[in-house]
Amino acid sequence: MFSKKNKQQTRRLSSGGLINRSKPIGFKFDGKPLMGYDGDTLASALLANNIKLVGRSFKYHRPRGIYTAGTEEPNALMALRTNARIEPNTRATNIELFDGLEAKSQNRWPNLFFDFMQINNLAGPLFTAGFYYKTFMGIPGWHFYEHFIRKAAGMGSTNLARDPDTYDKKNAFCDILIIGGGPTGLSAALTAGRSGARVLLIDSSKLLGGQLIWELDQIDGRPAFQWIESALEELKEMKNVTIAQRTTAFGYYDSNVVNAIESVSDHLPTPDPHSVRQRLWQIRAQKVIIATGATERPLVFSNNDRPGIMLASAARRYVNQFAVKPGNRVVIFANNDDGYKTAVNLAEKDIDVRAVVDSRTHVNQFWKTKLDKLGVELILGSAVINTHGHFGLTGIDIASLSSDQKSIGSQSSFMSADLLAISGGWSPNVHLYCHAGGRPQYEASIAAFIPGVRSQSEYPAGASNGAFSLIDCVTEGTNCGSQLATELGFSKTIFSIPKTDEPTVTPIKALWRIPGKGKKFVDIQDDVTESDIKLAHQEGYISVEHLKRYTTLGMGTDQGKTSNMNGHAIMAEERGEAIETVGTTMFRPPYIPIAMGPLAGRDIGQSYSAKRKSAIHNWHHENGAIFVDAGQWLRPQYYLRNGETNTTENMDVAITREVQGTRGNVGMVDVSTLGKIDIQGADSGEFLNRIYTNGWTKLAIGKARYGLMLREDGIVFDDGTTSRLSEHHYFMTTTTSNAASVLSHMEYCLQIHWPDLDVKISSVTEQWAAMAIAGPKSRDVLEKSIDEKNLSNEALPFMGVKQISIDGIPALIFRISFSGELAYEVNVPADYGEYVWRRIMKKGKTDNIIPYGTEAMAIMRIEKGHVAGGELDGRTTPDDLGLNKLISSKKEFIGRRLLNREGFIDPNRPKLVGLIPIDGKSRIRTGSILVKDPNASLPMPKLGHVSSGAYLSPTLKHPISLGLIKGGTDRIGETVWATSPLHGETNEVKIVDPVFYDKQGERLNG
Amino acid sequence: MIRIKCPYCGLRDHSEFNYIGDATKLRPVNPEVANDDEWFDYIYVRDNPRGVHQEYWQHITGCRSYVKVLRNTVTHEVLKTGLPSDDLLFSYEAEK
Amino acid sequence: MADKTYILPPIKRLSALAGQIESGRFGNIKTEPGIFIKENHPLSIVQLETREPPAKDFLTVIKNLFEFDVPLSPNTSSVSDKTRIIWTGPNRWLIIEPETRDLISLVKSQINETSISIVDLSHARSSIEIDGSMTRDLLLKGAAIDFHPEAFLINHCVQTTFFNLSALICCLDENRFNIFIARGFALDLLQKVQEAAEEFGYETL
Repeated sequence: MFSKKNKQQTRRLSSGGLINRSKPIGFKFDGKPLMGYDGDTLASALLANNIKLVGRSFKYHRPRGIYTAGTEEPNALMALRTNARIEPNTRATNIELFDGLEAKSQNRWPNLFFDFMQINNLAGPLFTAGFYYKTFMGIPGWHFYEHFIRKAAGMGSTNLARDPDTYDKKNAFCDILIIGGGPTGLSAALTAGRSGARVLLIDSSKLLGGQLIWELDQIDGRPAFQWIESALEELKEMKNVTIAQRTTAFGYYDSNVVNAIESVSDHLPTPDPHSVRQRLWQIRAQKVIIATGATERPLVFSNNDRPGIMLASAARRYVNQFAVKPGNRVVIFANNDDGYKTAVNLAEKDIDVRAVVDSRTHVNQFWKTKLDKLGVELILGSAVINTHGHFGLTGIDIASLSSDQKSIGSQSSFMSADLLAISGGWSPNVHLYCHAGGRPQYEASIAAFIPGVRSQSEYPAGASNGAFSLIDCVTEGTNCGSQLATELGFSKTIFSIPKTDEPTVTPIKALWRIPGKGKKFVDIQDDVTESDIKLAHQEGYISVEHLKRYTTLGMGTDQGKTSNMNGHAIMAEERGEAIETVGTTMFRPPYIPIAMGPLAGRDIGQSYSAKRKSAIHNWHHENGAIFVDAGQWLRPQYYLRNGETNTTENMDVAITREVQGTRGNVGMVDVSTLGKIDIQGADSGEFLNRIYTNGWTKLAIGKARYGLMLREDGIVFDDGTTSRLSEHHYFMTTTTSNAASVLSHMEYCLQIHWPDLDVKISSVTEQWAAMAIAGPKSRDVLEKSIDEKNLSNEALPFMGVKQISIDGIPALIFRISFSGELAYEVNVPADYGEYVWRRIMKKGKTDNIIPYGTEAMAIMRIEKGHVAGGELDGRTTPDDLGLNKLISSKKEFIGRRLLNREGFIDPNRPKLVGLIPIDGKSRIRTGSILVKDPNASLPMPKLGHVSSGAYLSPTLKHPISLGLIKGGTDRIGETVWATSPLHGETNEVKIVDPVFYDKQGERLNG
Repeated sequence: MIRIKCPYCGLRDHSEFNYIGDATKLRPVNPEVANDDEWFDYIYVRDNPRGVHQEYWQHITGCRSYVKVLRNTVTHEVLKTGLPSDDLLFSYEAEK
Repeated sequence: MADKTYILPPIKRLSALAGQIESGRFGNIKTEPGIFIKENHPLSIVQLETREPPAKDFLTVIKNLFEFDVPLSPNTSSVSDKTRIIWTGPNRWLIIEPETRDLISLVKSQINETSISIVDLSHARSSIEIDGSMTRDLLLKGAAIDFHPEAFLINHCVQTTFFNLSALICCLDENRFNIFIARGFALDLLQKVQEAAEEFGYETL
């Protein structure tokens, strides 16, 4: 894809590093073709190509370079990949280089070297903390300005194309989860693994070993990588140890659940066929060892953000792991020994290290001798006070530092440099410990926060616990793994702790900021400077949490990994209080930015919610059904015939056809979705008596009864029919939407209120396919369809139930009606549902049988004034709905006691009525508000609302609605107005009886 | 994520359960006799404690049992679980 | 109205998955299939529930009928050549066997006790069987249950959330599992299992 020539990698060392020089990789940065090697990160490849300028800063649009070599990177944020796969704000330091990679810098226009918005930098003093809000909020036009402000102060942007990749989720279980595969984690895995415990070791990198893979340390007299290799060899032999690489723990949640992202294919141009891009792991562990290491901090001095300034450890890593020379003239600035490690390491690789500037006045002889031998100047008791250069560092100013670190000497000296490697000490990565619920404590000896009291079963060890030396890491890891395995009951193992060759440490001397003028960046990603923190303090911000939100300190995609400690310490200095008093902000998940993809997994699009299908679904599908969601169920809403397209007009045609066909001849509707509950046991009748408002003790075997269920507070909960199949066996139906909640309610009653009742209940919704056959010819059709051939009033009277057979298939037939017609409900075991449906359709052909959907069903029930979902809205009482006749006065039942409270017997409660538009044609929208005078002044007194509407009653030839209105049926004959201001609709309606059709119920008998 | 130990099925994710509510409110044993205050208390009055809370969860995708859970509302820690008839608070205090 | 006994109807039962499982190899075909998927159909499924811990008579009846005991421990099942009885709740079991006889009538004829409820769920559940070296990994994608072979033994069962659905998962053999799901969700679950199996490569039978 790209030229394989290697002329550009001018900063690549000729040997060394964990890169494969025989596998060159072509990639593009801002459109420019470049080369790197297998084993590079995007950042190391850019540095190898001598590319220092990689981005513009968030607010001031200052030129920025690669600042770190890891997850903490605040500057080198890239838009990775292109088109639908574009991913903004990815950290170049974390991106494994792959062939054809395309990355673009962000937050610059038109390009990196000429960025229009760098004018913000000149206007710098204006853009202090809270600038935008102070300036623009509260004055007219914020909506206008906001767009431009957000565009100027921005991160990368994505596009709206659908992500073509898939994402996966998995659960994992283990005895001991070890997060981090560095020296601590590997040591812990060895002892825990040897004990037999189930160990899961996860590490965010491609290579295990943590910092050791790029350090020159020795373990037991051998190079550290040999120790890693033998540790891995042993771990891979253990069947009880699982290692997950490229897997980053990003959150520690309750019950020791840790979430991690596995970058399955992020290192590939596109995922392999049938593979996924990323995978979300949800790990449940008994014990969790947090071995996540530590992050080096920068130092805060004037112009400390120029390209060419980077963390000292990062400079070392680029040299050792990637064989990249991050600078030709190097100066180190540190307040701790780590800077010396970098200085010696670089100098030994023949890089020109000019000086080590140490703010401390003493360092041990070991380092002095080394520097001396390598010809590196040592400048003690001094600080870098300013830097020079624009697109890249050209030099620095050094001055002496007073012993209280509050002032600098009047004389400064210039030193030419293109790389300034800085080290302000190390902060343990306490993030996961904090997620678990812990509050870190300040430890002055290392000038950092370390984990304190344990909240769950989290065990920080090694550098993440503040133990920075290699020997401390392997010791803590080894002991922790062994101890936790023993606690979990696994055998003790014998182990020895390896030896290292580290010099003694001269303690760090905290140096939170260096005196001097100019912009001193604390949070380099969010462009928060030392003066912003001072200003926040001056304006009265005391809490670090408020400081964070006011200045945006630590609020970028890096979540302040390199900046929080310095920022909070400066706040403490301003307040004149101890750091432990001021504290630190709370770390919350995620530890790294997480894409939405793996969180959603496969639950997207059509898979967002499960689709539940009735046993007759395929027939509906083949016969023109338009489906509607009813909870998770798919139900036929209406059926289109050949040649009908799905338009509003054709929907009306279909619904009219279905209602008229049913009322005129016979129709059939799939009611399999109704909840069905099997009730058995000696106390079943008593149980029904307690949960329904009406009486059940006298229901005869072979009979069904309509029942009304209330909530404990007297509000109507659900309705349905329940039938008595035998002495102690009942069959209940519920509405489709309440099926699950009614079952849970009944289980609650039986398990908690009345465990003494002998009642067993079970959902049988899915066992039965159910179909309602309605219309004057329904009996004829069914008599032709069933084996018994007789459904006369004597054989099956109204509200009768019978076990019959259909072609030898056992069926339950109920003579109940929702439509008001002569009607039956036939239940057959679900696997026979389609067969029986087809049979009835065939037998009914000569009677012009028609399938009908939920729309026709709803219209027919409104015509009959039956209440349903719109009326059972969680606010209505039985009296509101005209159902008082179902309230037994002779027994106790759930909801009874609160029926007579004041609010329920208020004569002004809205009650059920029918509504007809005066003009006979206007459609009254469900949810419309009923008012006396639509022109009354606001707020307009509300009389009630429209609860269910049929846009067209094919039977009555005009729209009809049900509604609830103050005064209820006493107002029959009055006119009011139905208004839906949202839709600009206002129509005059007449109040009528809620039963629009066949008030005497004569049609029930055919 | 909270993990809850169903007395029958064992330790499971909370997503297998439905949260029901306060387990300390008992339905008046004799509904006819109970006065308005008792009913009002049973139906409407709920504490919102900071700390230990005894509550019901139903193991909805498991065995469908109602489980009594003693949970710390501050830390989300599940301190104890049992059957609806168990007095978890009493046994928890006793064990302390 | 007494429950009428019946013989198996002459009409063939139609599974929720009828015509939905195209046989063949899918997903990653670079390796041997990690998953084999098939449906078990038709099954007889009868639920028994007793009010109290089961009486001796009940246990004897079951033993006489099936020649083994009902499992009394949660999350377990007992099995013979053709019948499996699964614990599904306190004092509640499912008897499952391939449909060869009128199981519900048989059980009803042997148990006359009203304190025991007998419910036919033969049509209420669909059963997807998975086999192959990657089944435990596949199950972990959908359920938060420890399927490690030392934790989830043969004949262990769980009722749990599986790909956001209520499911009963039973271990039949080392890597062979039966997943029971409400009939209405059968197709949805099949698709989810197939998607999850793609990376392992799968064969439908």
